[in-house]
Amino acid sequence: MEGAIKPLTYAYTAAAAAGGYVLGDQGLGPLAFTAPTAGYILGGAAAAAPPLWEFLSALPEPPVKKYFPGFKLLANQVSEQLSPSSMKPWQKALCISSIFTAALWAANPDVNQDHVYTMQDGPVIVAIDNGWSSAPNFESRLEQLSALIESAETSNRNIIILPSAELNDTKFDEKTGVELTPAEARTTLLELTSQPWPADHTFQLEMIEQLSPDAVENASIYWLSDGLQKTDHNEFIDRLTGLGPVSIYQDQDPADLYLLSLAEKDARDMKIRIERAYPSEEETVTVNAYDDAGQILLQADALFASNEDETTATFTIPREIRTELSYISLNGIENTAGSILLIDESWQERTVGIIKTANNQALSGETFLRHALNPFTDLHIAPIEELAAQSNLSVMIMTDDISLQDTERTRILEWIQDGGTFIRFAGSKLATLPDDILVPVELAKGRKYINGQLTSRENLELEPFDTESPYFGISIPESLNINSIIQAKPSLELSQHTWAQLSDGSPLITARQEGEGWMILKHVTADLDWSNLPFSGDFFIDMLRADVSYSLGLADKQQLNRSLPLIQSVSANGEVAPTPPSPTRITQEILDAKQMDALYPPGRYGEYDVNGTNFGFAYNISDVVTELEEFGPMPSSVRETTYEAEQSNTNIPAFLLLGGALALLADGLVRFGQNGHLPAMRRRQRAASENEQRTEEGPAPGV
Amino acid sequence: MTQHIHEHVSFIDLLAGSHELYQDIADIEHAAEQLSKSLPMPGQHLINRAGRGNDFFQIRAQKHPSERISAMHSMRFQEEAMVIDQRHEQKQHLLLWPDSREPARRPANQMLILAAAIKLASQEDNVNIWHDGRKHRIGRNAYKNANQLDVTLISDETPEFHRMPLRSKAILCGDFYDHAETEAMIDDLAHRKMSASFIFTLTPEEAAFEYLGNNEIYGQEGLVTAAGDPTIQFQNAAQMRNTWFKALHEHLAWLQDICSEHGFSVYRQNTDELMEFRDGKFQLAETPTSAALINLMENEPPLDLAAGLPQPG
Repeated sequence: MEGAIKPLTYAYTAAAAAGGYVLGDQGLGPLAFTAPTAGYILGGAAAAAPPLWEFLSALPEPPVKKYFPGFKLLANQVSEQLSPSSMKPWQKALCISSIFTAALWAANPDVNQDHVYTMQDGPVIVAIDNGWSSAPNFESRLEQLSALIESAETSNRNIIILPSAELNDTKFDEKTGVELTPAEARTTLLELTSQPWPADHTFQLEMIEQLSPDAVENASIYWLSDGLQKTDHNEFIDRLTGLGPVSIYQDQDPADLYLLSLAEKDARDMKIRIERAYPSEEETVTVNAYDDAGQILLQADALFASNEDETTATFTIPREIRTELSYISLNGIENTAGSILLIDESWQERTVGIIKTANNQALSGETFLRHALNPFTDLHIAPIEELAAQSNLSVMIMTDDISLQDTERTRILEWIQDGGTFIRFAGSKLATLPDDILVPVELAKGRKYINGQLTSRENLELEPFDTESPYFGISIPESLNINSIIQAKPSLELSQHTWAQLSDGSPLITARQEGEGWMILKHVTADLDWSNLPFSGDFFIDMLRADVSYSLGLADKQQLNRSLPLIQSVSANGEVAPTPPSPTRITQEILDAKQMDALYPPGRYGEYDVNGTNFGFAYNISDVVTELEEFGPMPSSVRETTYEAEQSNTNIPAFLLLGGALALLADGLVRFGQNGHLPAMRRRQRAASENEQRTEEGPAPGV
Repeated sequence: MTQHIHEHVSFIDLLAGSHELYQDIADIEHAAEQLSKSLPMPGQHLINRAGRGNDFFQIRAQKHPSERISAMHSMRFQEEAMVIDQRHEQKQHLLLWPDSREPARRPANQMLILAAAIKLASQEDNVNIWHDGRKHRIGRNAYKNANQLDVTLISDETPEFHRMPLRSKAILCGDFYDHAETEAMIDDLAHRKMSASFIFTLTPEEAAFEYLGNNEIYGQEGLVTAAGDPTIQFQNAAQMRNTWFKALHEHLAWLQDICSEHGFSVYRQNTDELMEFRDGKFQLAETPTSAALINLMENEPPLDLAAGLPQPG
């Protein structure tokens, strides 16, 4: 130690202490220190630096003691001990920096990359996406919100939270869209969750409109988004940028987000359309079908081609489990309300009725129809009155063996108008009396024989089905032989009602909507009299299946005509659970308006019937959201960042700790090396010595 | 006081039991035997040879002013003075002394001297070891012949020249850093009309002076600096290195001068030629070589002692 501390050191100490305190308290540019006593910590550390420098300057290095053979000769040359020198300046700086690094770590530094935005002194407005699509990684949004609240607390600013999805708790109404202190915001934050219904910027815009201009003056706006485009997207951005500087946060590597919807109705096969929000590489997803108890009934795989955002999974559903099917969701992913698809009875097996005839022949039309329909429908063969009285009958089929009374005609017509699908086969009786109210188009009298021409298959063939036809996609067998039809009278509307026609334009199948239901006429018989259609194998069955699928089901329509309560809800992470009785009832108007929110969440609406089974329909995300679309480019004034980038700032203390440890290690290594313990430094010294010898160009050592 | 023990004993037995300084004698003797194999026959006139009678003489050019010139023969060779070497009737004596006090160069000194002794003993010269006031004879030949070389290896800390006959030859191996002691030895040698060869051994630590940072060096027990300190501390290794090489060069120049003044030859032997850095430490070399001893035995004139050493800045 050399003397006392120099007077100048006191001045340095005072200046360093003041500088350190200001640095800790106020931060430097984007750098802020969040420890409550950061000013004192850094002030103390800075104040310690000048005396420490003096101390280290006075502190000699511990010498390395070694035996030297030439000591006797050298001892005569050394008359006094050389005073040991202190550490080199860079070594002292290294030592002090390791201590100051520890102080910086203790002060808990945080780099605020958007410090320009924090220059504002108005409230901090946080728009947060909390709809169904925000469920994956919602934790990162909350963490970011927490960081923003903390930042606002440091700068004594209030917070306005604008959730994009309306919350299903009225107490939140008081906490959203209004100025909160950071402490209040923190309690709100703890209760904020993602919701199972779609986010709605309109809701946020309404809240912004209610804010007074004075309250949002000099505001900083942060939008914690889920990266998907929603309604009023552009208007929302315009409105936000009008309030102040906007920072938008997105996921750097967004979690997979899927939307399930019904691709095709079919009584036997169910095709599920799966859309993914972020098309990337090839991907196989597994789709599970569950019953009410959550047991897996079926499983199917679907492959997303590379860069494709859509694929289809097909379930072939055995008849035994059709009624048990409750919902479908993806397996092995973080499910959302969008990746679950509730199944209602409109997807389930249709109830089909064939009007009973007196014809008991083995090759009657009824026989062919019964064999064709039985595998995929709940088939009933009964008199008209009995069929029309069934509440859930979807399709009623009539062959030409029946002579209708007027009352029966009226009863059937009413049934059609209520939503039923009536399929009628032509025949000799209809050809005799074509002026029937139960036909979709006006018919010409008489049976048209086309036997000669059709068997040659040169001129009159069944035309391939139009894309608008329900039969589109069904292949026509070459063996199809039609020898007679009942002709429609030419009219301007005939082509609109034609679902299938011959090559000369003669309609083979015509259909017309009547009220809520449909009237379909096959211009041939159901038996083999006029064609070999019943013997055409899959063709006959596929056409009937298409007819049945086209029907909505009378029961559905009847249910929709009255309001229904929610009986089963879907959570934000795709869990299905029964709900307590709710006074809110959904109506057709709500469905038509595609309103899905806290009041009308996705789920199953309906009533329990006397047997205890639910009886209603499913309201899925895919009913209101048709596609998943990412944001387009943002205006240049909007600062874009990611949750990961912002949250990585919290690692600064760890880096500092590492830096400090490295500095200490480096210091130790240097000392170790200086004391001759490192072979590398010894070699360097030896090399330097040899170089010196070479430059002298003397003879080699020897005698 | 002086006793002669006429019995055959090996170096190893004798030396191991004779003095604590020879504690590493097993290794040293092995290395010395290796080294002796690389040595030449002793020169014709440096050391007497057995078996040729006493009429041997040789005319050769003068190598040192102290040699007696033969005027008759010099006339024939006008360019240089010639001398006649004649074998003396008198028996010749050789003294070998390794300085065993400084531990870093002790093995090298002992190895050199032992190697010379082994070489001579293998040629039926009479080799004795003088230790602790007693003379022990070793080697194969138990009989003294007039033309035999009588070799005395002295293992004591200081050589006692008064025990040697006049005009003997001495080979002294050490650092000779104590100038007063060295001067006293040289005076004694000159007084006794002895010829001498000095071998200065230099360790790698001294040849390189590799130090970094803060150091404290010390020497043999009891050694102190001029200021009375048992150690020397220095932070500035470069400065101390300069000081050291300045002192070393001065010492070598002094040694060369004083030997030359008395007609003595002086050679330098780097100990790392005899020892090598192996398994993390200096050990005796498996195949040691000594240029100094070869030159000495071949009667070659010594080179500059300071050749190849770093110069002080």
